[in-house]
Amino acid sequence: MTLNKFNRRKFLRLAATGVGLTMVYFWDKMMDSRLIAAAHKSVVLPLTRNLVSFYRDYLVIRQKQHVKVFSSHCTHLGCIINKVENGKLICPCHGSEFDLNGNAVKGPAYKPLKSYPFEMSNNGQKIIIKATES
Amino acid sequence: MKQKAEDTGFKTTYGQISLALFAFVLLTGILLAIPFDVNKPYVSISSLMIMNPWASFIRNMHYWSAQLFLIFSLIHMYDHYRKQHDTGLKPGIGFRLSLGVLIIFMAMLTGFLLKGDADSLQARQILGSLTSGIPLVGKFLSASLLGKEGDFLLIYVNHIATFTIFLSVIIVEHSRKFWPKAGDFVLTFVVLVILSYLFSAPLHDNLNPTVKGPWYFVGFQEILHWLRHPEWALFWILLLLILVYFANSGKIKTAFFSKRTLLIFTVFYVMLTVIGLFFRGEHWQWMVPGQKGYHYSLMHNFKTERVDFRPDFSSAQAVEAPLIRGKKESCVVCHNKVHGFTDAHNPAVIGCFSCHGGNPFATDKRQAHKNMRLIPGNLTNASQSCGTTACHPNITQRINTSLMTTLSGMISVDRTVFGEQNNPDLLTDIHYLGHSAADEHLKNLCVRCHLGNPKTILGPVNEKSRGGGCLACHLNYNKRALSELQRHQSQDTSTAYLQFHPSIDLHVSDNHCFGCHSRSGRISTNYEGWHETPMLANKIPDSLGYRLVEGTRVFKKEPEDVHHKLGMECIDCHQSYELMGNGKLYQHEENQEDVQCKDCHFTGKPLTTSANNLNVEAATIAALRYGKISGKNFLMTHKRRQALINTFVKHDTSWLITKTGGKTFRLKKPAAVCTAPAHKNVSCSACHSAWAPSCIGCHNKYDPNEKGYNMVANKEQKGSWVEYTGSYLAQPPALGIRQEGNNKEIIPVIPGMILTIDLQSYTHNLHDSLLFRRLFAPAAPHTTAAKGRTCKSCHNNPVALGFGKGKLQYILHGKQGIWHFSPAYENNIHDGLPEDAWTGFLQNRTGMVSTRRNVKPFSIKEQEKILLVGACLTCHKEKSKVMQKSLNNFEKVLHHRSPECILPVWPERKK
Repeated sequence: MTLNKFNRRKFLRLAATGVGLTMVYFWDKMMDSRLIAAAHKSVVLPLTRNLVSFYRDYLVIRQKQHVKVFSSHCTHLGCIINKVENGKLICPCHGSEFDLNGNAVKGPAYKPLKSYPFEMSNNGQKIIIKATES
Repeated sequence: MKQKAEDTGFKTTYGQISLALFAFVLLTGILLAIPFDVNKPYVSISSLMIMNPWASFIRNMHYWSAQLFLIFSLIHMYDHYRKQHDTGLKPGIGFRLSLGVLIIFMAMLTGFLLKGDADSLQARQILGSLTSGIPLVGKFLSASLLGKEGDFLLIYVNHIATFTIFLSVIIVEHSRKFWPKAGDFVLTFVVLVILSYLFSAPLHDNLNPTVKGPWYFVGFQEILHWLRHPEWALFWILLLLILVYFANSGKIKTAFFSKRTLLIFTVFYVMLTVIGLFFRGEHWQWMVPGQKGYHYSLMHNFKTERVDFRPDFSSAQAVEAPLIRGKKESCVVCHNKVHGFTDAHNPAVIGCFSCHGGNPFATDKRQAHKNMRLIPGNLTNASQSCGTTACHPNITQRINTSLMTTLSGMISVDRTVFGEQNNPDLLTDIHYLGHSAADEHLKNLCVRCHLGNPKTILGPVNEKSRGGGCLACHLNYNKRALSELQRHQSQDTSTAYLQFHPSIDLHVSDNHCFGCHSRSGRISTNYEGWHETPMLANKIPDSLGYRLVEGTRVFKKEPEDVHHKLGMECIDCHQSYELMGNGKLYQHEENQEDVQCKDCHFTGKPLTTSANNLNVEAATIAALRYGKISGKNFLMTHKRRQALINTFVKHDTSWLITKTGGKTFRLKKPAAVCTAPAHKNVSCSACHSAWAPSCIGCHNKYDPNEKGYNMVANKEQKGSWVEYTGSYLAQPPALGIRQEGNNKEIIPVIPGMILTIDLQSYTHNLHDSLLFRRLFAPAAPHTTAAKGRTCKSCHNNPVALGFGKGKLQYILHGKQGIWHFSPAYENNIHDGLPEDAWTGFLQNRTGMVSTRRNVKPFSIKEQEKILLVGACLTCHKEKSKVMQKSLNNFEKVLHHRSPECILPVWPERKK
């Protein structure tokens, strides 16, 4: 009887753990589509005459005819950079600074801003950032 | 952790209070779900704060119950650790309790994120970034916690369900209670009601550039700020959770060690929190109380007013008010019929708060107007109003480099004249004036006219105005706005002026410049054709030829500038990068100036740029002024290649359209005489300046009893420098040489400073002698005449040559010609030169001779060259063939001269 009891308890525990893991598996499956949806999509942005145009996820830097596109997320903790001062992009959260080539010039960030390849629309007024595998 | 059995009545434990607080978190959370809109969190919270004081009150209760729940839960833990009982929990419960601590923080953080304001949006990025940094499952956890970027639904679900249910289960499991005790319930309710009434839960105004996490997070934010690899912070969190676990369920020694470590960490963390809250401002920069901008940068987080259950407006009025920059703003609920703005500054678009500050979520006048800026745009606050990120941040940065802000030249020259520095071309700044004789002199007599001098009185910019930041140029009252303001100023009860707001726009008239530029070089008055006299106001003749300025200064009519006559205003020549600075510091006005006569009056091909190449500021202004600009070609300045947006080139002809009046002019080419080789080094203004004001013989003395004024502090004071002026003259300016490298240019100059300074009167130092200076200054008279000066007015004119007034004669002695000069003024005892002279007749002058290092009077050799032509002009008419020929090749004409020509003989020079 004791053996049976032990086996039953053990079985139920194992089964419960199994159910728990199954739920985690379901959780994982539920996230699949969301992660894919959250992956980088093709984006079209207007090309303005501003030296730096700020968007939620991108920074477009235009120096005369040279255009560059960077991620607007600071490489320290992902905060959205929304200010340029004296030719430096400044992160509002911890004061990291980047030059207009995306290089970190003041910490805590030390990695350069992520640069995105892009295409110009035919009329030269829009920037197309194509989806990339992430 | 079991509750004490003997706890009854009002005798309670921290755990019991936490339970009661948790009950209120749940209750108020459910109520708050009614007005909260997860699709528009920021709009819905700002709306409920303005439209429904009860909803605001419930939000405050939710906030305060949650904050106190966190605090009391931590104290509850500490209390148990301190008493050293109830440790040795079963590993399962111990594990879940440790996890529970993390879940409390997660529940509160998600609540913070659900505000959807600037603080929350950045906190979301940090949280996402940190969670993603967890090895293997990071991205998966991050997506499960935060959901899609820009969407709050999953955060909301986690906040109200995932974490809340988990916490409920843990609380019930470890306390074995569902309901708080009635006494605790009532007590916490009373405390929460008081707190929630007095202090509103924070909401970022989305304009202030400082962003911070919630108060319990700023210590962590401080730690993150020091970490190049913030992922390491995750190990610290894990370590803390393990310590909490061992403190709960570890063996005695391990538990003791864990508790002590946790205590030390807590003390350390409280210190970091204080630093984060009170010493970190914009961009997490270190700031200390009292520092400039400290209040704006740090204290806005604490702008938590009490709930006003009787707002100054009805909910219906609040509902009708427009959404402004993604939020409801209470200012426009009351100030809902304000007229007078340009489209860009329409309060329906930017609200009142963007410029005037105050509290955009307050519901009564007192709260709303607290810390507001009645007059925004002064340079002390321009970066917080006109220059916020979404508006004109670049301009409010570069304006600080403008000479109109720094006054570099004025200060440097004055200090040099006083002998306090040996170079008038050093970069200086009004903000760094000290207490030397020169600096006191500047403060008493000179430096009122800088853009940083704040505007403190309502009303339009007029001839008495000085400074005023952005408003100095961009403020305009229409008739109604002015009359209503005047009515208000004469009778306090009139409030109609609040409906008629002055306009902030691009119509920068000459009147805006007049207040400051009618002084010193008097560019504004010269341009309009007025010359200042020493006449007293009560002696002003009853005639059209006189004008009274500021009620005391009498001006006499002189020829106006030809551009003024045509209807052009100051801004038709001077573009924004000259006026508002271009980010570089310049010593003197001629260094900062970009536009030159030749930019519009040129021979050969125009220097142009197309509309496509305009920068955003120039393009926006051009479009606002002239409509469609695409396909247009604009003239550019030769010096810095800036587009002149009020010009255009069509079919090889260049045109100018005035910025305000819209008058169109074809731009004229310079006359042949101007471009002739003989005059290649002569600046346009040397010939075309009809007259310039000059003042000679001035004395400066410090009088300790004089009623004076400090122009920097804007305060009256006892003791002041006093200026005793000589006579004012309006005459064609003298000429001199500006040398840049090997380039020489003949320019107009005026007697900037022929003066004496009684230095001893200020310093009381017996070694300080009376200073005498004879300095001329390069001038931009702004009295342009279409027709240039005659040949004789330069070549045969002692004033033009720098000798001063007098009789300059070419005397023939048989076959010899000799130039002779007899001055009109007596020689000055200090240097032996006539009072109004810059240099001696056929003499060299060296040393400190002008207010610049590169400007000098003509040398003997140069005087001889000019007078040689002057000798020719004594016989030959200006328009004679021979003189016209000489413009192209003087040497050749001289070589083939007639035997009757008598050239001057020069006195032998000393070697």
